[in-house]
Amino acid sequence: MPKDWADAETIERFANLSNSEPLYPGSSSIALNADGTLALVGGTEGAVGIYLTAEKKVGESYNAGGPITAAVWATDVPLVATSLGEVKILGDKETSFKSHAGSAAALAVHPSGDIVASVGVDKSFVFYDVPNGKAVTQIYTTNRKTSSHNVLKFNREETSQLT
Amino acid sequence: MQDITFSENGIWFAAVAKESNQVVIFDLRKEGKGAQVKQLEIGGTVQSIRWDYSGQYIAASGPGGLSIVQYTKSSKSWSDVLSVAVPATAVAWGPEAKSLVVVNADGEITVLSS
Repeated sequence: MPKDWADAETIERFANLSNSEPLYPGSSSIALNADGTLALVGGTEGAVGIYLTAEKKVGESYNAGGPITAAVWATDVPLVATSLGEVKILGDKETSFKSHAGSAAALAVHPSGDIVASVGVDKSFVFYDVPNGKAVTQIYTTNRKTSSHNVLKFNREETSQLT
Repeated sequence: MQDITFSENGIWFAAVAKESNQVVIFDLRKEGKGAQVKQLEIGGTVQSIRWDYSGQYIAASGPGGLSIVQYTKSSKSWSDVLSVAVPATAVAWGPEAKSLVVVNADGEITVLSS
């Protein structure tokens, strides 16, 4: 067990420290930054906020233009995905990617903290270089050539470069 | 499937089906049928599951509340640590697993800590 990690006794004593107002109806995603000070949350109306956990209030807020399906922190950069197929980098360098036909279902952050992947109901994956604000690659997994292969393998003929 | 989650240490994978209260846990070091090592019965339907960063604790949340289960390496056993009637659609672990920040369907954010 890492040295200062919570033990079972600590967790047994978890209690409700604070409750916000109902901020974003229909929320199904929440992401905390590394030091736990900022919680990224968004709901079905497209409103997204960064909730300051210590001050118990919303800091920055945004409108993502569609119901939020996923929320992640790429190091200090907040990203959300919507059911309209968009993935958005929020904050100072706000950037939108119309990535998927249909809902953008999930986001995942690479351990480096700089690359994010989105997956859509269109069965494609898109990778984003977050520090440079670009979508790097879109990979479709429904090609009959790949249907008998592990869906996680890249098929170079299907890779298209996006600017 | 309703939700899936890997632990950061690459050992555990957990999954829960829609409308289910059972979280299935896989040990990724094992192969085939032996990889499924545990089925956790949670007190209500589970919408979201998340390992803490160390892979020792898994939080399972749903409309009825939230449960945290611990894996103890020395005894290879799973034990219930916490069950609270805090409904949540999603959860996020704070630093060192000393807090849990959750959101419910109304968009209320709750911070749990000791």
